[in-house]
Amino acid sequence: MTVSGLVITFMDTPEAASFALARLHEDARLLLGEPVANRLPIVAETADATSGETLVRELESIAGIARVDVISIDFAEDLDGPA
Amino acid sequence: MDRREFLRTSALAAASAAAYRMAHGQPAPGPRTTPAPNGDVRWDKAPCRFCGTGCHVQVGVRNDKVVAIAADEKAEVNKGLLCVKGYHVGLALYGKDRLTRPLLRRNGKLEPISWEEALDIVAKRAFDNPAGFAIYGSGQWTIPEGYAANKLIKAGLATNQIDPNARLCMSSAVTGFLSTYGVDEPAGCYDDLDKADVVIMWGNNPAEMHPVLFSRIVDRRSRGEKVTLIDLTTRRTRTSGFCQHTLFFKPNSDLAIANGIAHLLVERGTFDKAFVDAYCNFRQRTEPPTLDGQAMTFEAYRRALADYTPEKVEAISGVAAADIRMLADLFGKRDLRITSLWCMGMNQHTRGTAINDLVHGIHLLSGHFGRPGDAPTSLTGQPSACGTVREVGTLAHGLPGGLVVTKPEHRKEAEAVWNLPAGRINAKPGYHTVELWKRFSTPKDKGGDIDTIWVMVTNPARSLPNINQLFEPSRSLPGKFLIVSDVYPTATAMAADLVLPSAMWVEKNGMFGNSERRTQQWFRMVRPPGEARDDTWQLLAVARRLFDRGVPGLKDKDGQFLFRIRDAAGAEVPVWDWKRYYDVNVDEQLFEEYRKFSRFKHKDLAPYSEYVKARGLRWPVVEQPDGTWRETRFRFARHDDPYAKKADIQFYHSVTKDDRALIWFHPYEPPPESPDRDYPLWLCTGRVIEHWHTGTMTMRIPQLQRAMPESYLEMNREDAKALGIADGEVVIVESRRGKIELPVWIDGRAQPARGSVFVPFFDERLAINRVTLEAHDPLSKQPDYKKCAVRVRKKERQPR
Ligand code: SF4
Repeated sequence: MTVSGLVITFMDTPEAASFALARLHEDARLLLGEPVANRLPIVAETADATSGETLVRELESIAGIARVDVISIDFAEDLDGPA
Repeated sequence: MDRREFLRTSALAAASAAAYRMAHGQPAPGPRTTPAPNGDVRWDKAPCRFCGTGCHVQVGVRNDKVVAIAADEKAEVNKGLLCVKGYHVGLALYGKDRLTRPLLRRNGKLEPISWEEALDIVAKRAFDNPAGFAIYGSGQWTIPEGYAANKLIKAGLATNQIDPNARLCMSSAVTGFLSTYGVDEPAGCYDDLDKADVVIMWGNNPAEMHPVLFSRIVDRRSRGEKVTLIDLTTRRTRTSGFCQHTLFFKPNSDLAIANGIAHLLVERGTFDKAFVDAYCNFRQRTEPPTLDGQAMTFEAYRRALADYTPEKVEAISGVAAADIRMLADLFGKRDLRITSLWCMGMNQHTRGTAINDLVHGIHLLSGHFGRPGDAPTSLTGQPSACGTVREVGTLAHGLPGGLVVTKPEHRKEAEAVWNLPAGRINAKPGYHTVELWKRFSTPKDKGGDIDTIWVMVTNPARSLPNINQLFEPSRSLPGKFLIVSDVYPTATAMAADLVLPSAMWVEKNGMFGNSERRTQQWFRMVRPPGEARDDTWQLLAVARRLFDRGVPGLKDKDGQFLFRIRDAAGAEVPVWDWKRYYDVNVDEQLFEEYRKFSRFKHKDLAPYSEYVKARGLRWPVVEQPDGTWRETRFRFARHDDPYAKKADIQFYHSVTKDDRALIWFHPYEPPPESPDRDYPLWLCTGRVIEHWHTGTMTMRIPQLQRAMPESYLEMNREDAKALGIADGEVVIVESRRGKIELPVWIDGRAQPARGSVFVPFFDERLAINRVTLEAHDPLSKQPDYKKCAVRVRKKERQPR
């Protein structure tokens, strides 16, 4: 399991942002933090770092999301797993 | 709290802090949320291993392994952000094919040997022919590593045969700073990016190459600040997408653009006369060119520029006359703050020194200098190109602290710090990189007087230009011996005669110096794999062997070992014995000795212990009356630089010794090789965001490798159509020097202009430097990787 800290930047239009926020709420892999202006801190839990990458790309493609910044990544399980 | 819960909480805290900072441009009030110690994961700071931006990361360690990476919110450079490479940096340690034992080539095969035998071989090569023994290092060396190598060659062997790969990436920036200000490295810093109204990118692509810095600028816009971004470029890149103005210019014509801006400032009288009268002199080049040049009057400068009307500049560069006027209008406005950024586009240039001079000149002429946001700033590509190469002086002519071997008074200063007998340091510079490798690849009886090169932390078999001529011949010439210290079996390591397995990044203590004069420190956090060992230890162990063999240069003037490391009681510690190496902090002792050099050119460094506490400090770092240490953000400006005392701006290392900087005139001239009938296209090379340099680390990080698995040739759609080439098709790209096969990418990440192609150099398997040109700038000796003539043809189908 890989745990990553991300920051979502929403588009400026409120409708697009609330659409995106609703999509994020539905995603069980995500823990949402407190929004700061048009930024939302979140935590993503994925099976491994590669699915973490895929998730970031999925998030980037959601209408209403302008940008996704990765802030932290834990890959202990990737390393501990079979070589 | 279980481990998972701890990780979740830490990740959310880090993301929340970053979100606040991105939204408000300042840290969140209240306590910091950098990961706290936890019974399971131990956290400590380190600068990122990759680029010259110099972000700090928090490294999480568990069971002697790096298991987590977080952006460091206390770090001023990255303010809690990292790029895609940065947050995967921990995985760079764990490629499956780490080198773990010394290897010697016997009967064509690399076979394991002991460290004792390996180091004896290195020492014997240096002992038998010191004049033919060279070290080829890197801007990825830590500061103590580079310092030890420099001292071994310049004091120990007294040959000056050492040069780093940074010759290939920033030596034109060095000569530009020296010829303009009389002293190297930028006056401004990253704080300028927070204050500039206009940021002009001169042939660089920070959205991919310095992404965290670029985000810092773009974030200002998303907070509602007005920042105008101007991209002067030869191809549409990711950076272009964020810019209000993207101005395409023909390769090599940047000199004409700079002269066009200066011409309008002078003719319209919109230059800053008060600034120029108070702080500048005018200069033109001599034949042969020198860093001092020759004085010229303002009137002569004006006449020299007269030819560069906007229309003439448009004809040379392809940039519309109206856009040249727009740039001159901006520089003519005193109420704006303008920062220029550049990197390899201006440095990897056969006129690299000249274009660096001209961009500094526009800022000086227009007075856009010295106020926060007004700065001409070169960026570096490697994490310690500034710290280890420019400051430690590991270039073939350099000595630490900005001193040079050619000046008797500088040699004397260095001999005093190193406690050497007078006259020990050789006054003749060693060979610059291209010359060094040319001589290594030339038979001894034909002038190839370099017979051993010890390569550390770099991959010249892929990163030198024109490797078919500069690297490959050496591998079959008798008597040529290549030693490589590295962490992975790179192309260079696999071609070597002797391979030494190295520790990397947080497997050793280290210090780097980033692009904004910031010196950074970290401690060893995990042990290296197998028998891999620190590069500083390797250098000291070889030095000790030479001392034991009686090489006089390895003794100081009191007969003591040149690298005398002591314990707290003052007794010498035999750190050449690996078992004893970490009994003391060798880095600290080497740094404290090196620090004595930093005063000569006002590049003052603080004691090592200050860097342990900080996320880096920007020199000059000057002790305050209360015993604290203060860094300097804006050099030469009285409002911040403690050495600028006489006037608001004081260039206190002025070439002309009158506290003035030099505004140079250099004419536009065509490049040494241009497209012609046989080779009709321009080739430009560079990097991509996922990979760093020749990819020896990032291609071993699965996430990055999968994101960008293979090199490619970027081609303009119209050119491809004219040649009947489809997207994804494999083509042959060929110059007068060599050829390789690559898949074509049309309308991919970037779009080259018609008549040009681009190939990244991260893929060791597809070595574009078989094709590039080794022509170099006459002063900086930096080769031009950005333009040579090639042809592209479809790969013929194999007969069935
Ligand atoms: S911008 Fe450079 S220093 Fe910063 S995280 Fe990315 S690679 Fe590392």
